[in-house]
Amino acid sequence: MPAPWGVRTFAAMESTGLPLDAWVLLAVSVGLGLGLELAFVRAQRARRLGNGSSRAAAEGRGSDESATDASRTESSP
Amino acid sequence: MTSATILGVVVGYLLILLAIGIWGGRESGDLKGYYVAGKKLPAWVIAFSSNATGESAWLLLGLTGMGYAIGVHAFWIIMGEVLGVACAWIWVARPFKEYTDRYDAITVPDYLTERFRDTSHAFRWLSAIIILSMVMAYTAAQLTASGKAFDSFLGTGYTEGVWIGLGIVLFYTTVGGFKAVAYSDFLQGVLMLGCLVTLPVVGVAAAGGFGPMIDALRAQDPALLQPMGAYGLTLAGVISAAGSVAIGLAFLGSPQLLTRFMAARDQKQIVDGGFWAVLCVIGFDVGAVFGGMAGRTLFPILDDPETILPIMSAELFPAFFTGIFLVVVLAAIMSTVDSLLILASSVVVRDVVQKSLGSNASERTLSFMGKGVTVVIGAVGLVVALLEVRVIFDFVLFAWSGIACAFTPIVLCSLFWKGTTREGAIAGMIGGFAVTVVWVRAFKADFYDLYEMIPGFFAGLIVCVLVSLVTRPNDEAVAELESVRETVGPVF
Repeated sequence: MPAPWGVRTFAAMESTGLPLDAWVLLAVSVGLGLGLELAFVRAQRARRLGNGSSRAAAEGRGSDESATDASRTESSP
Repeated sequence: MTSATILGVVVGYLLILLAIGIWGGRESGDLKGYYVAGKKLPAWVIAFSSNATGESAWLLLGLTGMGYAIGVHAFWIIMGEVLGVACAWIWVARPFKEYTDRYDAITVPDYLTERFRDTSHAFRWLSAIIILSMVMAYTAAQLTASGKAFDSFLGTGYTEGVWIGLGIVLFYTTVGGFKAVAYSDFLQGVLMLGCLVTLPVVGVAAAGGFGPMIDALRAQDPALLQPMGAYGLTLAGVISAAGSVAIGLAFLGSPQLLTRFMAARDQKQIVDGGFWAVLCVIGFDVGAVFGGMAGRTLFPILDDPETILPIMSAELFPAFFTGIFLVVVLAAIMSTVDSLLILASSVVVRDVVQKSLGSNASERTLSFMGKGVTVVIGAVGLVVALLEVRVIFDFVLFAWSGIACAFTPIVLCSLFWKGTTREGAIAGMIGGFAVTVVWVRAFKADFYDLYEMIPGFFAGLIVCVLVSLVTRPNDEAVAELESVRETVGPVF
Protein backbone atom coordinates (compact mmCIF):
# COMPACT_ATOMS: atom_id res chain seq x y z
CA MET A 1 0.00 0.00 0.00
CA PRO A 2 1.50 3.39 -1.00
CA ALA A 3 2.40 5.90 1.73
CA PRO A 4 -0.01 8.80 2.29
CA TRP A 5 0.42 11.90 0.11
CA GLY A 6 1.86 14.02 2.93
CA VAL A 7 4.49 11.43 3.83
CA ARG A 8 5.52 11.08 0.19
CA THR A 9 5.76 14.86 -0.17
CA PHE A 10 7.96 15.22 2.92
CA ALA A 11 10.13 12.35 1.69
CA ALA A 12 10.51 13.98 -1.72
CA MET A 13 11.39 17.33 -0.11
CA GLU A 14 14.00 15.76 2.13
CA SER A 15 15.52 13.85 -0.78
CA THR A 16 16.47 17.17 -2.41
CA GLY A 17 18.91 17.82 0.43
CA LEU A 18 17.35 21.15 1.42
CA PRO A 19 16.42 20.90 5.12
CA LEU A 20 12.74 20.50 5.95
CA ASP A 21 12.61 23.77 7.95
CA ALA A 22 13.87 25.63 4.88
CA TRP A 23 11.14 24.03 2.75
CA VAL A 24 8.54 24.98 5.36
CA LEU A 25 9.77 28.59 5.41
CA LEU A 26 9.63 28.76 1.61
CA ALA A 27 6.17 27.16 1.51
CA VAL A 28 4.84 29.58 4.13
CA SER A 29 6.51 32.57 2.41
CA VAL A 30 4.90 31.79 -0.92
CA GLY A 31 1.75 29.99 0.24
CA LEU A 32 0.47 32.51 2.77
CA GLY A 33 0.31 35.43 0.34
CA LEU A 34 -0.86 33.32 -2.59
CA GLY A 35 -3.49 31.55 -0.47
CA LEU A 36 -4.89 34.84 0.81
CA GLU A 37 -5.01 36.23 -2.72
CA LEU A 38 -6.77 33.15 -4.12
CA ALA A 39 -9.33 33.19 -1.30
CA PHE A 40 -9.92 36.90 -1.98
CA VAL A 41 -10.41 36.40 -5.72
CA ARG A 42 -12.79 33.47 -5.17
CA ALA A 43 -14.83 35.43 -2.62
CA GLN A 44 -15.08 38.48 -4.88
CA ARG A 45 -16.06 36.40 -7.91
CA ALA A 46 -18.71 34.59 -5.86
CA ARG A 47 -20.08 37.97 -4.76
CA ARG A 48 -20.12 39.22 -8.33
CA LEU A 49 -21.95 36.09 -9.53
CA GLY A 50 -24.36 36.36 -6.61
CA ASN A 51 -25.08 39.97 -7.46
CA GLY A 52 -25.65 39.04 -11.08
CA SER A 53 -28.17 36.31 -10.26
CA SER A 54 -29.99 38.51 -7.74
CA ARG A 55 -30.35 41.19 -10.40
CA ALA A 56 -31.70 38.65 -12.86
CA ALA A 57 -34.21 37.50 -10.26
CA ALA A 58 -35.22 41.07 -9.56
CA GLU A 59 -35.76 41.75 -13.26
CA GLY A 60 -37.81 38.57 -13.51
CA ARG A 61 -40.14 39.77 -10.78
CA GLY A 62 -40.45 43.13 -12.52
CA SER A 63 -40.52 44.91 -9.19
CA ASP A 64 -39.18 48.46 -9.32
CA GLU A 65 -38.05 48.28 -5.73
CA SER A 66 -36.14 45.03 -6.21
CA ALA A 67 -34.49 46.31 -9.37
CA THR A 68 -33.30 49.41 -7.54
CA ASP A 69 -31.85 47.29 -4.74
CA ALA A 70 -30.11 44.97 -7.19
CA SER A 71 -28.55 47.76 -9.22
CA ARG A 72 -27.26 49.30 -5.99
CA THR A 73 -25.63 46.00 -5.08
CA GLU A 74 -24.26 45.66 -8.60
CA SER A 75 -22.38 48.93 -8.30
CA SER A 76 -20.22 47.38 -5.57
CA PRO A 77 -17.57 44.89 -6.64
CA MET B 1 30.14 40.38 -32.88
CA THR B 2 29.17 39.77 -29.25
CA SER B 3 29.25 43.48 -28.43
CA ALA B 4 27.28 44.25 -31.58
CA THR B 5 24.59 41.74 -30.54
CA ILE B 6 24.34 43.22 -27.03
CA LEU B 7 24.29 46.75 -28.43
CA GLY B 8 21.56 45.76 -30.88
CA VAL B 9 19.37 44.38 -28.07
CA VAL B 10 19.86 47.51 -25.94
CA VAL B 11 19.17 49.90 -28.82
CA GLY B 12 16.06 47.90 -29.78
CA TYR B 13 14.78 48.12 -26.22
CA LEU B 14 15.41 51.85 -25.97
CA LEU B 15 13.58 52.42 -29.28
CA ILE B 16 10.57 50.53 -27.93
CA LEU B 17 10.54 52.83 -24.88
CA LEU B 18 10.63 55.89 -27.13
CA ALA B 19 7.73 54.48 -29.17
CA ILE B 20 5.72 53.87 -25.98
CA GLY B 21 6.36 57.49 -25.01
CA ILE B 22 5.00 58.79 -28.30
CA TRP B 23 2.02 56.44 -28.11
CA GLY B 24 1.18 57.51 -24.54
CA GLY B 25 1.41 61.19 -25.46
CA ARG B 26 -2.14 61.27 -26.80
CA GLU B 27 -3.55 61.20 -23.27
CA SER B 28 -1.16 63.53 -21.49
CA GLY B 29 -2.88 66.79 -22.43
CA ASP B 30 -4.45 67.40 -19.01
CA LEU B 31 -3.42 66.70 -15.41
CA LYS B 32 -5.58 63.59 -14.98
CA GLY B 33 -4.23 62.17 -18.20
CA TYR B 34 -0.63 63.09 -17.44
CA TYR B 35 -0.53 61.90 -13.82
CA VAL B 36 -2.95 58.91 -13.68
CA ALA B 37 -3.48 58.02 -17.36
CA GLY B 38 -7.10 59.17 -17.17
CA LYS B 39 -7.80 56.36 -14.63
CA LYS B 40 -8.24 53.84 -17.45
CA LEU B 41 -5.51 51.26 -16.87
CA PRO B 42 -6.33 47.52 -17.06
CA ALA B 43 -5.49 44.92 -14.40
CA TRP B 44 -2.40 43.42 -16.03
CA VAL B 45 -0.75 46.81 -16.52
CA ILE B 46 -1.24 48.03 -12.95
CA ALA B 47 -0.13 44.64 -11.60
CA PHE B 48 3.21 44.47 -13.41
CA SER B 49 3.73 48.23 -13.25
CA SER B 50 3.37 48.37 -9.46
CA ASN B 51 5.80 45.48 -8.99
CA ALA B 52 8.36 46.89 -11.43
CA THR B 53 8.19 50.24 -9.63
CA GLY B 54 8.38 48.63 -6.20
CA GLU B 55 11.52 46.74 -7.13
CA SER B 56 14.47 48.80 -8.31
CA ALA B 57 17.84 47.45 -9.42
CA TRP B 58 17.99 46.10 -5.85
CA LEU B 59 15.88 43.11 -6.95
CA LEU B 60 18.26 42.07 -9.72
CA LEU B 61 21.58 42.92 -8.13
CA GLY B 62 20.78 43.11 -4.40
CA LEU B 63 18.42 40.17 -3.90
CA THR B 64 20.39 37.79 -6.14
CA GLY B 65 23.43 38.92 -4.13
CA MET B 66 21.60 38.06 -0.91
CA GLY B 67 20.71 34.62 -2.24
CA TYR B 68 24.41 34.25 -2.98
CA ALA B 69 25.61 35.59 0.39
CA ILE B 70 23.06 34.27 2.90
CA GLY B 71 21.20 31.50 1.03
CA VAL B 72 17.97 30.28 2.62
CA HIS B 73 17.90 33.16 5.15
CA ALA B 74 16.81 35.35 2.20
CA PHE B 75 13.50 33.41 2.14
CA TRP B 76 12.34 35.85 4.86
CA ILE B 77 12.49 38.62 2.25
CA ILE B 78 10.26 36.54 -0.03
CA MET B 79 7.77 36.23 2.83
CA GLY B 80 7.79 39.98 3.48
CA GLU B 81 7.37 40.99 -0.15
CA VAL B 82 4.73 38.40 -1.08
CA LEU B 83 2.66 39.19 2.02
CA GLY B 84 3.13 42.93 1.48
CA VAL B 85 1.93 42.79 -2.12
CA ALA B 86 -0.98 40.45 -1.29
CA CYS B 87 -2.18 42.55 1.66
CA ALA B 88 -1.91 45.77 -0.38
CA TRP B 89 -4.12 44.40 -3.16
CA ILE B 90 -6.57 42.62 -0.84
CA TRP B 91 -7.11 45.24 1.89
CA VAL B 92 -5.71 48.61 0.77
CA ALA B 93 -6.41 48.89 -2.96
CA ARG B 94 -10.22 48.73 -3.08
CA PRO B 95 -11.10 51.26 -0.33
CA PHE B 96 -8.30 53.54 -1.56
CA LYS B 97 -9.63 53.36 -5.12
CA GLU B 98 -13.18 54.04 -3.89
CA TYR B 99 -12.09 57.08 -1.89
CA THR B 100 -9.94 58.54 -4.66
CA ASP B 101 -12.70 58.06 -7.23
CA ARG B 102 -15.16 59.87 -4.98
CA TYR B 103 -12.73 62.77 -4.55
CA ASP B 104 -11.52 62.65 -8.16
CA ALA B 105 -8.06 62.63 -6.55
CA ILE B 106 -4.98 62.19 -8.71
CA THR B 107 -2.28 62.32 -6.02
CA VAL B 108 -1.94 60.83 -2.54
CA PRO B 109 -1.83 64.30 -0.91
CA ASP B 110 -5.07 65.01 -2.82
CA TYR B 111 -6.60 62.00 -1.08
CA LEU B 112 -5.26 62.89 2.38
CA THR B 113 -6.44 66.51 2.09
CA GLU B 114 -9.98 65.48 1.18
CA ARG B 115 -10.12 62.54 3.60
CA PHE B 116 -9.23 64.76 6.57
CA ARG B 117 -11.01 67.90 5.30
CA ASP B 118 -7.74 69.80 5.53
CA THR B 119 -8.17 73.38 4.43
CA SER B 120 -4.68 74.45 5.50
CA HIS B 121 -2.95 72.40 2.74
CA ALA B 122 -0.64 70.96 5.41
CA PHE B 123 -0.68 67.50 3.80
CA ARG B 124 0.20 68.97 0.42
CA TRP B 125 3.19 70.99 1.65
CA LEU B 126 4.46 68.25 3.93
CA SER B 127 4.16 65.64 1.19
CA ALA B 128 5.92 67.92 -1.27
CA ILE B 129 8.88 68.43 1.08
CA ILE B 130 9.25 64.72 1.90
CA ILE B 131 8.69 63.42 -1.63
CA LEU B 132 10.88 66.02 -3.38
CA SER B 133 13.86 65.58 -1.05
CA MET B 134 13.72 61.80 -1.19
CA VAL B 135 12.96 61.53 -4.90
CA MET B 136 15.86 63.75 -5.93
CA ALA B 137 18.31 61.69 -3.90
CA TYR B 138 16.89 58.41 -5.12
CA THR B 139 16.79 59.55 -8.73
CA ALA B 140 20.43 60.62 -8.50
CA ALA B 141 21.38 57.20 -7.13
CA GLN B 142 19.48 55.39 -9.89
CA LEU B 143 21.11 57.59 -12.53
CA THR B 144 24.48 56.73 -11.05
CA ALA B 145 23.57 53.05 -11.42
CA SER B 146 22.49 53.76 -15.02
CA GLY B 147 25.86 55.39 -15.78
CA LYS B 148 27.75 52.44 -14.33
CA ALA B 149 25.57 49.87 -16.15
CA PHE B 150 26.00 51.50 -19.57
CA ASP B 151 29.71 51.96 -18.98
CA SER B 152 30.40 48.40 -17.77
CA PHE B 153 28.33 46.62 -20.45
CA LEU B 154 28.84 48.91 -23.46
CA GLY B 155 31.88 51.00 -22.52
CA THR B 156 30.06 54.28 -23.04
CA GLY B 157 31.81 56.04 -20.16
CA TYR B 158 30.07 56.93 -16.87
CA THR B 159 28.99 60.46 -17.80
CA GLU B 160 27.58 59.41 -21.16
CA GLY B 161 25.76 56.49 -19.46
CA VAL B 162 24.05 58.86 -17.04
CA TRP B 163 23.02 61.16 -19.90
CA ILE B 164 21.66 58.30 -22.03
CA GLY B 165 19.67 56.82 -19.12
CA LEU B 166 18.14 60.16 -18.12
CA GLY B 167 17.51 61.21 -21.73
CA ILE B 168 15.44 58.11 -22.50
CA VAL B 169 13.45 58.24 -19.25
CA LEU B 170 12.76 61.97 -19.58
CA PHE B 171 11.59 61.56 -23.16
CA TYR B 172 8.96 58.93 -22.53
CA THR B 173 7.93 60.36 -19.17
CA THR B 174 7.38 63.91 -20.39
CA VAL B 175 5.91 63.02 -23.77
CA GLY B 176 3.85 60.02 -22.72
CA GLY B 177 3.02 60.84 -19.09
CA PHE B 178 1.79 58.22 -16.66
CA LYS B 179 0.33 56.07 -19.42
CA ALA B 180 3.76 55.67 -20.99
CA VAL B 181 5.30 55.14 -17.55
CA ALA B 182 2.79 52.41 -16.66
CA TYR B 183 3.03 50.57 -20.00
CA SER B 184 6.82 50.80 -20.09
CA ASP B 185 6.83 49.51 -16.50
CA PHE B 186 4.65 46.64 -17.69
CA LEU B 187 7.17 45.77 -20.40
CA GLN B 188 10.01 46.14 -17.93
CA GLY B 189 8.20 43.97 -15.37
CA VAL B 190 7.63 41.21 -17.91
CA LEU B 191 11.31 41.30 -18.91
CA MET B 192 12.42 41.19 -15.28
CA LEU B 193 10.09 38.25 -14.58
CA GLY B 194 11.28 36.35 -17.64
CA CYS B 195 14.93 36.73 -16.71
CA LEU B 196 14.43 35.91 -13.05
CA VAL B 197 12.52 32.74 -13.91
CA THR B 198 15.14 31.69 -16.45
CA LEU B 199 18.19 32.51 -14.32
CA PRO B 200 17.72 29.83 -11.60
CA VAL B 201 16.61 27.18 -14.12
CA VAL B 202 19.80 27.61 -16.17
CA GLY B 203 21.90 28.09 -13.04
CA VAL B 204 20.62 24.93 -11.31
CA ALA B 205 21.07 22.92 -14.53
CA ALA B 206 24.65 24.20 -14.82
CA ALA B 207 25.25 23.20 -11.20
CA GLY B 208 24.25 19.62 -12.06
CA GLY B 209 20.70 19.71 -10.72
CA PHE B 210 18.93 20.79 -7.55
CA GLY B 211 20.35 18.07 -5.26
CA PRO B 212 24.00 18.61 -6.28
CA MET B 213 23.51 22.40 -5.91
CA ILE B 214 22.28 21.94 -2.34
CA ASP B 215 25.15 19.54 -1.57
CA ALA B 216 27.66 22.08 -2.94
CA LEU B 217 26.15 24.85 -0.82
CA ARG B 218 26.28 22.63 2.29
CA ALA B 219 29.92 21.86 1.59
CA GLN B 220 30.72 25.57 1.30
CA ASP B 221 28.81 26.68 4.41
CA PRO B 222 26.02 24.74 6.17
CA ALA B 223 24.54 28.05 7.41
CA LEU B 224 23.52 28.81 3.79
CA LEU B 225 20.77 26.20 4.19
CA GLN B 226 19.51 27.35 7.59
CA PRO B 227 16.43 29.63 7.82
CA MET B 228 18.09 31.67 10.58
CA GLY B 229 21.36 31.73 8.64
CA ALA B 230 24.71 32.19 10.31
CA TYR B 231 23.05 33.94 13.27
CA GLY B 232 21.14 30.84 14.38
CA LEU B 233 18.18 31.31 16.72
CA THR B 234 19.58 34.41 18.43
CA LEU B 235 18.34 37.96 18.94
CA ALA B 236 20.44 39.07 15.96
CA GLY B 237 18.90 36.31 13.83
CA VAL B 238 15.34 37.23 14.82
CA ILE B 239 16.01 40.95 14.17
CA SER B 240 17.50 40.13 10.79
CA ALA B 241 14.49 37.98 9.84
CA ALA B 242 12.01 40.60 11.12
CA GLY B 243 13.79 43.32 9.15
CA SER B 244 13.56 41.20 6.01
CA VAL B 245 9.83 40.62 6.48
CA ALA B 246 9.33 44.36 7.17
CA ILE B 247 10.47 45.19 3.63
CA GLY B 248 6.92 44.30 2.58
CA LEU B 249 5.39 47.12 4.66
CA ALA B 250 6.39 49.62 1.96
CA PHE B 251 3.91 48.03 -0.45
CA LEU B 252 1.00 49.01 1.80
CA GLY B 253 1.23 52.77 1.48
CA SER B 254 4.05 54.18 -0.64
CA PRO B 255 2.62 56.91 -2.88
CA GLN B 256 4.36 55.68 -6.04
CA LEU B 257 2.54 52.33 -5.62
CA LEU B 258 -0.81 53.77 -4.49
CA THR B 259 -0.88 55.82 -7.70
CA ARG B 260 -1.33 52.53 -9.61
CA PHE B 261 -4.52 51.76 -7.68
CA MET B 262 -5.81 55.26 -8.41
CA ALA B 263 -5.11 54.78 -12.12
CA ALA B 264 -7.04 51.49 -12.39
CA ARG B 265 -10.06 51.54 -14.68
CA ASP B 266 -12.43 50.23 -11.99
CA GLN B 267 -12.65 47.98 -8.92
CA LYS B 268 -12.77 44.80 -11.02
CA GLN B 269 -9.27 45.56 -12.33
CA ILE B 270 -8.01 45.56 -8.77
CA VAL B 271 -9.54 42.17 -7.95
CA ASP B 272 -8.04 40.68 -11.11
CA GLY B 273 -4.74 42.56 -10.91
CA GLY B 274 -3.94 41.39 -7.39
CA PHE B 275 -3.60 37.79 -8.51
CA TRP B 276 -1.12 38.74 -11.25
CA ALA B 277 0.79 41.01 -8.89
CA VAL B 278 1.24 38.23 -6.33
CA LEU B 279 2.30 35.69 -8.95
CA CYS B 280 4.73 38.25 -10.38
CA VAL B 281 6.39 39.05 -7.06
CA ILE B 282 6.71 35.33 -6.27
CA GLY B 283 8.47 34.83 -9.62
CA PHE B 284 10.70 37.86 -8.99
CA ASP B 285 11.80 36.92 -5.49
CA VAL B 286 12.01 33.13 -5.68
CA GLY B 287 13.88 33.43 -8.98
CA ALA B 288 16.32 36.00 -7.59
CA VAL B 289 17.11 34.04 -4.41
CA PHE B 290 17.49 30.65 -6.10
CA GLY B 291 19.44 32.29 -8.93
CA GLY B 292 21.87 33.69 -6.37
CA MET B 293 22.11 30.31 -4.61
CA ALA B 294 22.86 28.56 -7.90
CA GLY B 295 25.44 31.24 -8.68
CA ARG B 296 27.16 30.54 -5.38
CA THR B 297 27.80 26.94 -6.39
CA LEU B 298 29.10 27.97 -9.83
CA PHE B 299 31.17 31.02 -8.85
CA PRO B 300 31.95 30.48 -5.18
CA ILE B 301 34.53 33.22 -4.60
CA LEU B 302 33.26 36.67 -5.52
CA ASP B 303 34.42 39.86 -3.82
CA ASP B 304 31.04 41.48 -4.43
CA PRO B 305 28.02 39.11 -4.29
CA GLU B 306 25.93 41.74 -6.10
CA THR B 307 27.84 41.06 -9.31
CA ILE B 308 26.51 37.49 -9.50
CA LEU B 309 23.71 38.25 -11.98
CA PRO B 310 25.93 40.03 -14.55
CA ILE B 311 28.52 37.25 -14.18
CA MET B 312 25.97 34.46 -14.64
CA SER B 313 24.41 36.22 -17.62
CA ALA B 314 27.80 36.59 -19.29
CA GLU B 315 29.06 33.08 -18.49
CA LEU B 316 25.94 30.92 -18.89
CA PHE B 317 23.99 32.60 -21.69
CA PRO B 318 24.65 33.44 -25.35
CA ALA B 319 25.34 37.09 -26.26
CA PHE B 320 21.74 37.85 -27.20
CA PHE B 321 20.54 36.86 -23.72
CA THR B 322 23.41 38.73 -22.08
CA GLY B 323 22.03 41.78 -23.88
CA ILE B 324 18.57 40.96 -22.53
CA PHE B 325 19.97 40.76 -18.99
CA LEU B 326 21.59 44.19 -19.43
CA VAL B 327 18.26 45.50 -20.65
CA VAL B 328 16.60 44.03 -17.58
CA VAL B 329 19.01 45.82 -15.22
CA LEU B 330 18.33 49.06 -17.11
CA ALA B 331 14.60 48.28 -17.00
CA ALA B 332 14.67 47.94 -13.23
CA ILE B 333 16.46 51.28 -12.91
CA MET B 334 14.24 53.10 -15.41
CA SER B 335 10.95 51.72 -14.08
CA THR B 336 11.78 53.19 -10.68
CA VAL B 337 13.13 56.53 -11.95
CA ASP B 338 10.17 57.24 -14.24
CA SER B 339 7.64 56.62 -11.47
CA LEU B 340 9.53 58.77 -8.97
CA LEU B 341 9.91 61.64 -11.46
CA ILE B 342 6.22 61.70 -12.26
CA LEU B 343 5.33 61.38 -8.57
CA ALA B 344 7.51 64.39 -7.67
CA SER B 345 6.15 66.37 -10.61
CA SER B 346 2.57 65.63 -9.51
CA VAL B 347 3.07 66.97 -5.98
CA VAL B 348 4.67 70.16 -7.29
CA VAL B 349 2.10 70.95 -9.97
CA ARG B 350 -1.12 69.47 -8.59
CA ASP B 351 -0.59 69.88 -4.84
CA VAL B 352 1.53 73.00 -4.61
CA VAL B 353 0.85 75.09 -7.72
CA GLN B 354 -2.77 74.22 -8.49
CA LYS B 355 -4.25 73.46 -5.07
CA SER B 356 -2.10 75.22 -2.46
CA LEU B 357 -1.17 78.36 -4.42
CA GLY B 358 -4.55 78.38 -6.19
CA SER B 359 -3.28 78.73 -9.75
CA ASN B 360 -6.06 79.35 -12.27
CA ALA B 361 -4.01 78.10 -15.21
CA SER B 362 -5.78 75.79 -17.65
CA GLU B 363 -5.39 72.02 -17.41
CA ARG B 364 -3.34 72.09 -20.59
CA THR B 365 -0.98 74.73 -19.20
CA LEU B 366 -0.63 72.81 -15.93
CA SER B 367 0.07 69.60 -17.82
CA PHE B 368 2.78 71.42 -19.76
CA MET B 369 4.12 72.79 -16.48
CA GLY B 370 4.17 69.22 -15.09
CA LYS B 371 6.36 68.14 -17.98
CA GLY B 372 8.69 71.04 -17.30
CA VAL B 373 8.91 70.15 -13.61
CA THR B 374 9.71 66.54 -14.55
CA VAL B 375 12.64 67.79 -16.63
CA VAL B 376 13.85 70.11 -13.85
CA ILE B 377 13.77 67.33 -11.22
CA GLY B 378 15.57 65.01 -13.62
CA ALA B 379 18.17 67.73 -14.28
CA VAL B 380 18.81 68.16 -10.56
CA GLY B 381 19.25 64.38 -10.27
CA LEU B 382 21.63 64.54 -13.23
CA VAL B 383 23.80 67.23 -11.63
CA VAL B 384 23.92 65.33 -8.34
CA ALA B 385 24.78 62.09 -10.15
CA LEU B 386 27.53 63.72 -12.21
CA LEU B 387 29.06 65.63 -9.31
CA GLU B 388 28.53 62.65 -6.99
CA VAL B 389 27.50 64.94 -4.12
CA ARG B 390 28.15 62.83 -1.04
CA VAL B 391 25.72 64.65 1.27
CA ILE B 392 22.86 64.00 -1.13
CA PHE B 393 23.81 60.36 -1.50
CA ASP B 394 23.50 59.92 2.25
CA PHE B 395 19.77 60.49 1.75
CA VAL B 396 19.58 57.42 -0.43
CA LEU B 397 20.16 55.28 2.63
CA PHE B 398 16.66 56.04 3.80
CA ALA B 399 14.94 57.43 0.70
CA TRP B 400 12.81 54.36 0.08
CA SER B 401 11.93 53.66 3.71
CA GLY B 402 11.56 57.39 4.47
CA ILE B 403 8.74 57.81 1.95
CA ALA B 404 7.14 54.53 3.04
CA CYS B 405 7.24 55.38 6.78
CA ALA B 406 5.87 58.88 6.22
CA PHE B 407 2.84 57.65 4.28
CA THR B 408 2.07 53.99 5.06
CA PRO B 409 0.96 54.32 8.72
CA ILE B 410 -1.37 57.24 8.06
CA VAL B 411 -2.79 55.77 4.86
CA LEU B 412 -3.64 52.56 6.74
CA CYS B 413 -5.19 54.50 9.64
CA SER B 414 -7.16 56.69 7.24
CA LEU B 415 -8.61 53.66 5.46
CA PHE B 416 -9.43 51.48 8.45
CA TRP B 417 -9.82 53.54 11.63
CA LYS B 418 -12.56 56.12 11.82
CA GLY B 419 -10.96 57.69 14.89
CA THR B 420 -8.06 58.99 12.79
CA THR B 421 -7.91 62.77 12.87
CA ARG B 422 -6.21 65.38 10.72
CA GLU B 423 -3.86 66.30 13.55
CA GLY B 424 -3.04 62.63 14.20
CA ALA B 425 -2.27 61.99 10.54
CA ILE B 426 0.01 65.05 10.25
CA ALA B 427 1.85 64.09 13.45
CA GLY B 428 2.14 60.46 12.27
CA MET B 429 3.56 61.55 8.94
CA ILE B 430 6.22 63.71 10.58
CA GLY B 431 6.92 61.12 13.28
CA GLY B 432 7.32 58.21 10.88
CA PHE B 433 9.65 60.14 8.60
CA ALA B 434 11.71 61.68 11.41
CA VAL B 435 12.22 58.40 13.27
CA THR B 436 13.36 56.71 10.04
CA VAL B 437 15.99 59.39 9.44
CA VAL B 438 17.17 59.50 13.07
CA TRP B 439 17.27 55.71 13.30
CA VAL B 440 19.54 55.37 10.27
CA ARG B 441 21.84 58.18 11.40
CA ALA B 442 22.09 57.44 15.12
CA PHE B 443 20.85 54.04 16.23
CA LYS B 444 20.87 51.46 13.44
CA ALA B 445 24.45 50.32 13.87
CA ASP B 446 23.95 49.73 17.59
CA PHE B 447 20.80 47.62 17.19
CA TYR B 448 21.99 44.73 15.03
CA ASP B 449 21.33 46.84 11.90
CA LEU B 450 17.58 46.64 12.47
CA TYR B 451 15.95 47.80 9.24
CA GLU B 452 14.59 51.33 9.71
CA MET B 453 11.20 50.35 8.31
CA ILE B 454 10.28 48.76 11.64
CA PRO B 455 10.95 51.71 14.01
CA GLY B 456 9.81 54.22 11.38
CA PHE B 457 6.53 52.47 10.60
CA PHE B 458 5.58 51.80 14.21
CA ALA B 459 6.59 55.30 15.32
CA GLY B 460 4.32 56.78 12.64
CA LEU B 461 1.49 54.43 13.62
CA ILE B 462 1.79 55.06 17.38
CA VAL B 463 2.07 58.84 17.02
CA CYS B 464 -0.91 58.91 14.66
CA VAL B 465 -3.05 56.85 17.05
CA LEU B 466 -2.03 58.75 20.21
CA VAL B 467 -2.61 62.21 18.73
CA SER B 468 -5.89 61.04 17.17
CA LEU B 469 -7.08 59.81 20.58
CA VAL B 470 -6.74 63.28 22.09
CA THR B 471 -8.29 65.10 19.14
CA ARG B 472 -11.72 64.82 17.56
CA PRO B 473 -12.33 63.27 14.14
CA ASN B 474 -14.49 65.05 11.59
CA ASP B 475 -18.07 63.68 11.79
CA GLU B 476 -18.54 63.87 8.04
CA ALA B 477 -15.31 61.91 7.47
CA VAL B 478 -16.44 59.22 9.95
CA ALA B 479 -19.75 58.78 8.14
CA GLU B 480 -17.93 58.68 4.82
CA LEU B 481 -15.63 55.89 6.00
CA GLU B 482 -18.71 53.81 6.89
CA SER B 483 -20.15 54.52 3.47
CA VAL B 484 -16.92 53.50 1.72
CA ARG B 485 -16.82 50.26 3.71
CA GLU B 486 -20.40 49.50 2.71
CA THR B 487 -19.72 50.18 -0.95
CA VAL B 488 -16.52 48.17 -1.08
CA GLY B 489 -18.06 45.27 0.84
CA PRO B 490 -16.33 42.46 2.73
CA VAL B 491 -12.95 41.10 1.69
CA PHE B 492 -13.78 37.41 2.02
